[in-house]
Amino acid sequence: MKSNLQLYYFILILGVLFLASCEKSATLTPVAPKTGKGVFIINQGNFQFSNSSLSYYDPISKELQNKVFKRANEVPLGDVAQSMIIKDSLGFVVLNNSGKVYVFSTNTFMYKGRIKGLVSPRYIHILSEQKGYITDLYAQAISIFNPTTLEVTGSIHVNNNSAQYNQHATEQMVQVNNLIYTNCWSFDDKILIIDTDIDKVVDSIQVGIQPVAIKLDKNNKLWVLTDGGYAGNPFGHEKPTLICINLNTKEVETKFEFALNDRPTDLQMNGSKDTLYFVNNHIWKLGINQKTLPELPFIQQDSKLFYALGVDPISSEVYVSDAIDYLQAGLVYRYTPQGFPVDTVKVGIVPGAFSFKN
Amino acid sequence: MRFIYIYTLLFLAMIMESSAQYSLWDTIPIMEILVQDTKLAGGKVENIDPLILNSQANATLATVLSENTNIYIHSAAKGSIATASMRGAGASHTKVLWQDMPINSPMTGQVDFSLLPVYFTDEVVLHYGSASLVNTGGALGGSISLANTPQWQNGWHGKVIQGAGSFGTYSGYGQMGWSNSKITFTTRIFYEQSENNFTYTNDTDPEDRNKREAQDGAQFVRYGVLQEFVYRVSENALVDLNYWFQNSDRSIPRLMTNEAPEHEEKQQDINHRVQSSYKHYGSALNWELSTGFIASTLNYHLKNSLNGTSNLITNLNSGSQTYSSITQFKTSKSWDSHWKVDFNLSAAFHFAEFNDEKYLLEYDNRQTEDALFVGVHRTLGERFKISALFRQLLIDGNLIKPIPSLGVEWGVIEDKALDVKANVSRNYHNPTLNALYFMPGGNPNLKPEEGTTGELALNSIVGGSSYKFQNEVAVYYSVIKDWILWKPSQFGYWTPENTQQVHSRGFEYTGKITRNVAGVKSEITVKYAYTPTTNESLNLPEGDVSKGEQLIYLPKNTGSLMETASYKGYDFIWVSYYTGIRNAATASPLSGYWIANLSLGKEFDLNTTKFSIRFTVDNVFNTDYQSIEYRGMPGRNYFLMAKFEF
Repeated sequence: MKSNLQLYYFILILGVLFLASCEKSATLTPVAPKTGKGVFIINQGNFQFSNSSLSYYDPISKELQNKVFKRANEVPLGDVAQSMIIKDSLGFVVLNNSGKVYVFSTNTFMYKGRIKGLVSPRYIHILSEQKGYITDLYAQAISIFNPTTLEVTGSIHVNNNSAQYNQHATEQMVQVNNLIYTNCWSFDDKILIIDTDIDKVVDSIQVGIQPVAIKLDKNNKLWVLTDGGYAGNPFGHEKPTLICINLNTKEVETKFEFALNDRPTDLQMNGSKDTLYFVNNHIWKLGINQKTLPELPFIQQDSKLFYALGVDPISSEVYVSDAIDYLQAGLVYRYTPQGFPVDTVKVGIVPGAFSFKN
Repeated sequence: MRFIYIYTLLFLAMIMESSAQYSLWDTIPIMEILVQDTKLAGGKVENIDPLILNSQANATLATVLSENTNIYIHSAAKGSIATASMRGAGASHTKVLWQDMPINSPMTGQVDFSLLPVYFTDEVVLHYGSASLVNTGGALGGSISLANTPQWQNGWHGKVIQGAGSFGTYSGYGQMGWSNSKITFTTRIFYEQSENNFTYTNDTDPEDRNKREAQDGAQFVRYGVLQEFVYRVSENALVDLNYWFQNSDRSIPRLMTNEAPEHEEKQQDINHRVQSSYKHYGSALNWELSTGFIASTLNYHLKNSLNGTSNLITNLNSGSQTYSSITQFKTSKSWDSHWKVDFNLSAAFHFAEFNDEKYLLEYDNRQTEDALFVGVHRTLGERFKISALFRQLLIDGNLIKPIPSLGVEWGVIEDKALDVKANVSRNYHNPTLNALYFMPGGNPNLKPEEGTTGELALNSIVGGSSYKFQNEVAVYYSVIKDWILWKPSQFGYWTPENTQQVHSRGFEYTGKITRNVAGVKSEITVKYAYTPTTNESLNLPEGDVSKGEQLIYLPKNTGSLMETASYKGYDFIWVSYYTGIRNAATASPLSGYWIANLSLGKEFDLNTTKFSIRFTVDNVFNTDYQSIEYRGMPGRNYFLMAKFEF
């Protein structure tokens, strides 16, 4: 009968529908522990996609493992992994848009604990077994935590009561004796000085517009890279700079200016703290006693889009990331201390930082 | 498990008088709506069954389109922003018209479907691909037309609907109107609120991978008014006036991976839309003059708790305002029942402004958009139709490339037993005001996006009064060039570029059996779409491997099965729909899922009044799924509605 034929026809159609629903998802393979020397690549991922990840590179065997945290723990890392430090054999990775820091073993990648309840954490610094600081983009405060218990124990207020710009956003930290220096990069132009004995801001240094990175050299001079803002930025737009500050006098001893439309993005130092490396389209190298910027880059950009930089503190090998289109897996290029290419590996989305395990 | 319930449903012999007034392929030219009952010959047009709209008065178009069509709705749980992708195209390539007036935001080019209440809509018509060119240019994926149907019963009429359901959801709808043979006016109002605190599984915590959590910070409140007025000037002319006001306040929840302390993130959307027209109907010439105005406001803020305290500080506070005014003149003339020519002129003005209180970012800009449309339709004999359409846009006084379309329709076997349809078109979508002028990041050098589409479809309707078997198979191929994509730049802000070339191909099937035996009617509808849509951009940067890959969040396979039936005032609706695997930005694809919904209704006729109740169960099988990664979705939930009509 016609209506039966139609019914069977529908069964056939549904069969097709059902077959289509038999699509298989990919599964992740576990990751073996990696002891010994290694490089962690912290892939930021895309904001609100919770697709950040950690990659691990073995410079001896040149083996790369991606998504090591997820593969070891079967849970995602979080949203926007901003930075990471290693203390003993523990990694502390700051998850900017997940309000927490994950602590994990740098050998097995297994989760060990977390510091949570943070607003928009950026960087972490451990002062002692009992105290550490975590900077923040929105909280207008730096969180104080206990690295042993992983509890948040207090905060340092850095609110300057300005109606605009959420000042101060705090970013990287360097320590000289009992003082911490932190750069305020977001629509800002200050370096804040914090006394770690009393956990308070005691002073500040005015620098150029938007100090994005700071590094301390072997003479305890502070190097600051400013990106100068951008055309139309209500806080201002000026030439980006690289300056050297004498922390005793708080005076600027050296100042290099870049072109107005340059956009330097990262500043790193070698292990002996006598050479700076920074990204400004190409990769540049500068000795701390040089008086002029180099004429030729250390590594040419060619058709790549360099984003972040890491320098192995022991070997002085240089690692550079390329975010490609910021939406797909990026690349990391490895160079010798003289700038010759050694290896290229495919990592996660927006590789934004490096952390070296020795 | 899936086998069992799918095949069981197939054997449910439902036989009832359907309350649908017309079926999928009939077009009733409702005088008050259509001056130009114009379709592109060979174009794909689909009507949403009014039975669905009636049974989901408490829903938004996001839900209705998601469950009943092959349009892909990108959205998290109810209440969140929902955008539509038709045939693999982008959110701004889906144009929405209300009373023939485009309502897409001039800033983003998009429409938030969670702000389109079903209750304010009596008719939803989808025009896929080239078919949209009768309504508007720039709808590279297609267009969705919403219209209100005036009520002409004499005297006072009205209805009240009250509903309550899971997760602290409450909604109320009311309608009151009066008509005689010359005038009708109706006022509709609605109010909805929900705590939206459904429970879901959070599998992202390394200390507890099966944590059950209640969704926090997803509450919403919405309310609105729709005022309609129609005056029949004479037998051949009428004037209508419509005003739609709506306010929506919603909280935006965090991802399930977030463990920050208490926060408040809210968005308020306020929309005023006014539209008025004068329509004249002649024996051979129809014309219409209409004008409309839209004012939209969007306010957003983010507050976080100051470390160590419960004080909330405002981190972000921004607002945007858009104004659009549109005037259209349309005319349609027929000759000796074989020729028809449509001619339209329209002029629109858009203004947009944005400001961010914390970071002092702001921009404002304006744009004029004028258009000329000519459509020529010819019928040869009884069964062959051909249409040629031409649309020309002028943006800020600059001509953009012309938009042509050609379509043919051939009745191979008489009485619609087999129709063949084909069409081709070239369409252009102009960059939005945000893409051109946003501060920071706007790119005034953007070119329009270009879409070239070809489509071939076979339709068949066989049967008579006791049964009908309808089938439609369509294949299409679309190339979209210069697709505008926002990407992060070295300056830390995002900026759009004409970077992408996308090839969207597809196969769509719709099948429907309608049975009408001894005065009772049942329907089973099956839909399936295979939509491989890939990035085929040229000149990709070194190391880019996205070429040939399916676009993110777009499923290749979607389908649905719907069964409806009614008996002595009882009715039954079952919908199961499938969303296939999607590439996510994590490169671990999101799993596909089936969701099933059940709706039971009973109507009581009480002389001059009607009372009905409806009970709905959504996600009947309590499926755990994610539409957007790391955003929870509700399990099984319930809703009860009571309606009183007079």
